[in-house]
Amino acid sequence: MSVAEVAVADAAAGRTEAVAYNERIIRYFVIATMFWGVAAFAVGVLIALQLAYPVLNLGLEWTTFGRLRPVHTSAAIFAFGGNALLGTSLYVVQRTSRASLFGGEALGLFVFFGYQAFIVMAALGYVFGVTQGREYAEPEWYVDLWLTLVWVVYLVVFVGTLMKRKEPHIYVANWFYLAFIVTIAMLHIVNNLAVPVSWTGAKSYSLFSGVQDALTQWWYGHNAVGFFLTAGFLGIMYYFIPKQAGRPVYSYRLSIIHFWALIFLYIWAGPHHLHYTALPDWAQNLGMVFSVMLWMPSWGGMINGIMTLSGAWDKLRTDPVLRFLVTSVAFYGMSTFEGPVMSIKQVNALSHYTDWTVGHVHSGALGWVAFVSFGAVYYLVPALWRRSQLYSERLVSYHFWIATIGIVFYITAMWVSGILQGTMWKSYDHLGFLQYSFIETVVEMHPYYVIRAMGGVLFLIGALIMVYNLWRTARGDVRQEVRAAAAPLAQPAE
Amino acid sequence: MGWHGKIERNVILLLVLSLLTVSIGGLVEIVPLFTIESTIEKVKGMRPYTPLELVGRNIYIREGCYTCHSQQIRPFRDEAERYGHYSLAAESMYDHPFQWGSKRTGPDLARVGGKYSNEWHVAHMIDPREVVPESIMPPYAFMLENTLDVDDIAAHLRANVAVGVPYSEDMIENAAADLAVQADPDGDHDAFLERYPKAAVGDLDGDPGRLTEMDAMVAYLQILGRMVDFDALTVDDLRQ
Amino acid sequence: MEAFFQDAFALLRPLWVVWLMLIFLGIVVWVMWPKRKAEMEDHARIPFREEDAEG
Repeated sequence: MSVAEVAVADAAAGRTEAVAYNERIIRYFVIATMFWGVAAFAVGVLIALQLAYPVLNLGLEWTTFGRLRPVHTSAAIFAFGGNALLGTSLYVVQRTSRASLFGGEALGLFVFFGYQAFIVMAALGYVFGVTQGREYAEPEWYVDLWLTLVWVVYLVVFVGTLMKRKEPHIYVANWFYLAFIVTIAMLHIVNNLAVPVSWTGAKSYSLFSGVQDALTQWWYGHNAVGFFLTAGFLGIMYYFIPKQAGRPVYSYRLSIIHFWALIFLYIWAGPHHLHYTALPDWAQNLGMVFSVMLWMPSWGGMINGIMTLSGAWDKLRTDPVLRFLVTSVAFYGMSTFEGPVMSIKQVNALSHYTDWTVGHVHSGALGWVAFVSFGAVYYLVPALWRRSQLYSERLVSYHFWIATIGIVFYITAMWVSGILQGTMWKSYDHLGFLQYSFIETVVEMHPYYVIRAMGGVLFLIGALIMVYNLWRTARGDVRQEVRAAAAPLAQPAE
Repeated sequence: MGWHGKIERNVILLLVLSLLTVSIGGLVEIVPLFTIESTIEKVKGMRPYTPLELVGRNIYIREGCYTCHSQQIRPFRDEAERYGHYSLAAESMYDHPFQWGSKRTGPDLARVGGKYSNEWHVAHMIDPREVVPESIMPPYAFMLENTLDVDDIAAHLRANVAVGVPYSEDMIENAAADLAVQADPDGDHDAFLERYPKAAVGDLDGDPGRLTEMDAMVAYLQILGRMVDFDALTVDDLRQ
Repeated sequence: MEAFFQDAFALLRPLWVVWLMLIFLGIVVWVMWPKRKAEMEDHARIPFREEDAEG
C-alpha cells in the first residue's frame, strides 16, 4: 500500500482525527535555532581567523580565543543543536502521539525561555571568565542547577505528552528523543558535581580530580556526542526523512535493533579520548573495543535513513530539502566510520591533540547535525506558518551547495593539517634528533587555518541565505522560479 | 504482545530500561577507578597547590588555556624528548578539575615548570610574538595590570578540602599570608617552603610592589611537573 | 577487600557479556519474528496519521 492509500484507509477506520497541536512554542524554537545557529557559525569563523591571524584576539581580556572557543562550542551544540532538538522533539511527540503538549503552552513557554536563559547565562559567563574548564560542560554550578530544573520540566512535558497519546505504539523517533533526554540528564548531573566556594560566588571545585575526573568528563563528553548530537538527531531523522520523502522508514525492525544497540554501546566509548594517558590501560582498551563495535549500529541507522529513499531516488534531484536530510545521513555514516578508526590506539597516537580531531568533529557537526537540522527547519517553517511551500527552492539548493563546499574545505584542510602536524611532531633527522621545534609545526598550519576559515565563511553565508529564505516564507512570499527537473514541461516559461 | 510489546507501549518502562541500558557502561568503567588502588601510583613529592599557585591555576582555567594546551604527556619517544617523562596519574590527583586538555595548538605544559625563567614567562604573556615571532597565542598583558583580588582564599582551600585535597589546618590558617609572601622578594619564605616545598618564590612578575594576576600565573606555570620526586621513583612504583 | 572486588569483577564481567548478548538476541528475535512484520509496518506509518485541527 502506498502512503496515500494507507491514509485513506486510516481515515476510513477512524484512526486519524483533528488535534489542536501547540505550535507557537515550536515556532519560537525554530526561530531560536536559526538565531543561535548564525551566532555559533559567526563566532566559529572569528576564532578560526584568530588562529590564522592572532591580531584578531584584539588584545582584550574578553575576546581571546580561550574565552570565545567555549562560546562557539556551546552556541553550536547547546544553543543551535539544543533548540533544534527541543523544538523538533516537542513537534514530533505531539504529531506521533496525536495529542497536544502536556502542561499546555505554559510549561512549553517555561522550557523555551528557561533554556534560552541557560544559554545567555553560560555565554556571558565565558566572556567574563566564569567557566568550570571542562570541555562542553563549561557552565558553572549555578547555571548547571538552572539547566537541571529546565531539563526536568522538559522531560515532564515530553513524557506527559507521550502518556496522553492516542496511538498505542510509541513511534521510534520518540524512543531516541527519550533516550537523549534521560541520558543527558544523567551525564549532566554526574559530570557537574562540584563544591562551590561560597553560595554567593560563581567559582566551584569539581568533586572528582585527576584521572577519575578525566574519565567522568569524557564519559560525559563523548556521550554529549552520542546522545545530544546523535540519538536526538536520529529522532529528527526518523520523523523528518519519512515525512519529506512521503514514505515510511525503510525498516522499522532495524530501527528498534539499532536503538538498543546504539544506546548500550555508546556509553562505553568515552575512554578513547584518553588513549595513552594516565588512565589505566584496561579502561582505554574497553573504550577502543566498544568504539569499534559502535560502527555497526551507527551504520544500521545510516542504512535505515538512506534506504528510506529506495525506489524514490529521483526525489533527491528534485527536492533540495530532502537532499539536505539525506546528505546529512551520508555525513553521519562518514563520521561514524572515521570515529572508530580514530579510536584505534595506533591511529589515535598520531591523530590525538591535532586538527584531525577538530575536522572529525566538524564533519559530524556541520555535515550531520547542522544539515539534518536545516532539513527539519526547511520542512517545519512552511508547516508551522501555514504556507503551501518555501519562498524559494532554488535558494535551498544554493544553500546546500555553498554549505557542502564549505564543509569540504573545512574537513580536508583539517585532515591535511592534522596529519601533517602529527607526523612533524614525530619526525627525527638523520642524527636521531627531533627534526622540528614545536613552533615550526605551528607555522606550517597557517595556510590550512586560512582555508578552514574560508570553509566556515561559506557555511555561514549558506545559513544567512537560509534565514532570508525562511523569513520570506513566513511572510507568505513565493518566488517565481522554474522548479527543478521534476516537471519541467508543466511550468510556464518565466 | 510479548515483553518487548509492553516496553514499546509503556513510556515509563521504556524510560527506565533506557536509563538502565545507558548506566552499565559508565558503572563498569568509572566505578573501578575509585576502588582499584593501583589506579594512582604511590609517588613521593605530590602536595596541594600553594594559595598563589591555586589562584594561578584558576586563572589558567578562566582563560581557557586548556583549549590549546594539553597537560598530559604520552609515553612516546618524541614526547619524552620534547616534554619529559610521561605524565603520571598521581600528578593530577589534586587537580579539581583535571586540565589534561585535548588539543595541542600550543605545546604541552605538563612539565613546563622550571624550563623558562620568570622573566621569559612575563614577557611571553604580555606579548607572545615579542618572544616567539611565529606564535599565534593571544596576548595576556592585562594579567600584569590586574591586581590580584582574592579576599576569600581560605574559603577556596576549604572547598578543596571538601573535595578531598589534604590542606592542613596550618595551611588554611596561613592561606592569606602565604598568598602574599610567595611573590614577595623580601618575605620570609622558610615556614612557607616547609608547607609547600619547591614552590617558586620571590619577585615573579617583575613588579615586586604589587601582587598581580601575573604573579599567580607564573607561580602556577613554574610548579607544573616539578612536584614528583623522579629520582626516588622505581619501576615498581609505576606499575599499574 | 581489593582482592574481593577484583575477583568479583573477573567473575562478573564475562557473565555480564553473556547476559547482555542474550537480551540483545532476544530483542532481535522478537523484532524479526515473521508474525510481527505487518504490525511493524503499521508502526512505521504512524507519522502519516496526524491531522491538524486548523490544517
